[in-house]
Amino acid sequence: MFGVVQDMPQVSEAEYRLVESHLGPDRPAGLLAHVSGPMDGGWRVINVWSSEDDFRRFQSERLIRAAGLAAQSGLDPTKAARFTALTVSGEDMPF
Amino acid sequence: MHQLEYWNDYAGESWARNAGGLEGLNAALGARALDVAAAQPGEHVIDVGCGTGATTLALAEQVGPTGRVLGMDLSSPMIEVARQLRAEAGMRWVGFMEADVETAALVADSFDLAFSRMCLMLLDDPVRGARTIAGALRHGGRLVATTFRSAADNPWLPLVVMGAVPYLDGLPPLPLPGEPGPFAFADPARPHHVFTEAGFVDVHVEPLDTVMKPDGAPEDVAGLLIQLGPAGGSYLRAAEDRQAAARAGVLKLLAAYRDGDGQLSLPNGSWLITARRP
Repeated sequence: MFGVVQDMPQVSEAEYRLVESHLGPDRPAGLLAHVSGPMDGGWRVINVWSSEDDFRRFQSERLIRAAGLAAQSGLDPTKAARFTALTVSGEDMPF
Repeated sequence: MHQLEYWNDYAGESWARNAGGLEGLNAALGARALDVAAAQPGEHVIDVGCGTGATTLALAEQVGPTGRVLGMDLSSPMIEVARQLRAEAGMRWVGFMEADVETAALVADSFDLAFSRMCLMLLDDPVRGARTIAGALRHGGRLVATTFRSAADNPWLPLVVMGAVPYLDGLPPLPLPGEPGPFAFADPARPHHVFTEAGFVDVHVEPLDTVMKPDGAPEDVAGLLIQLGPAGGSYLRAAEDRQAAARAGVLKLLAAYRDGDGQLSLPNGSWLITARRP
């Protein structure tokens, strides 16, 4: 399993939803859980994936494109460019 | 994609083909470091990740014909351009070596100064690379290097990717935190640890803020910027209309970074790293 915590300082919920709207309707392959919500002055996304490869594929094939489309349609691109990510690799729970 | 493959595939070929324009972009990233390095006449200098050799030749100007400068890069097409520029400059005291600093066999204790512009954060094992550099320096020899800070300090880098990719066929896998990539040294503790672990002393990591003001029409500059990064391969494979759309997409996202004359003016946040072999 592979976890990613992505913090986007200064990004509002509306701006996050704009990016989300460009991701398309299909659930990303390998995405097990998704939680997002406000953090201090920004927005935090926590995703758990079946594997690191699933996340990498989602990032390079969909997420960056969606952020680019959101930036073209109104998201302040400098906000989209300011993010940090924490990743965690580990095993599934034994039950 | 491994760095060796990346820099000998489209990236290296693209940088080699556009050496003049790209140096116009990158010159600001190394100018201050060259001043700090202050290579002296007669010194022996190694330039790690020399690319097409502009910094190597600048260091050669500083040391003069009584000195020696060795430029090293793992990109075959870029080293080929560097050798051509050296021949045109008539600088016989400059040599170039196609090698990866992590595995290169360098003569021990042979350089007074190691210089590197925007390379060391790309190494798979930067401590190993730094150890190679330390071993090649004489005791008391100095290191001067620049690396990128974070994406937030260099917003043009992610903006170029985001601006271009909606019009292109995807990207190669992007680096995760801590992996080799432009922002691998974003936390100043990382380069400090790397060079200390490699045996350097007096390791200083200081912010260096510059502004890149590339010459040329902004649309042409946008094309170069796309080719610099992970969207470069997709861009070069794309049809002309898609390439034009990608350039326009980049310029739209970089609108905040146009000066009064409409030229791009891109803030760049680097670390200036200095250290010494004991």
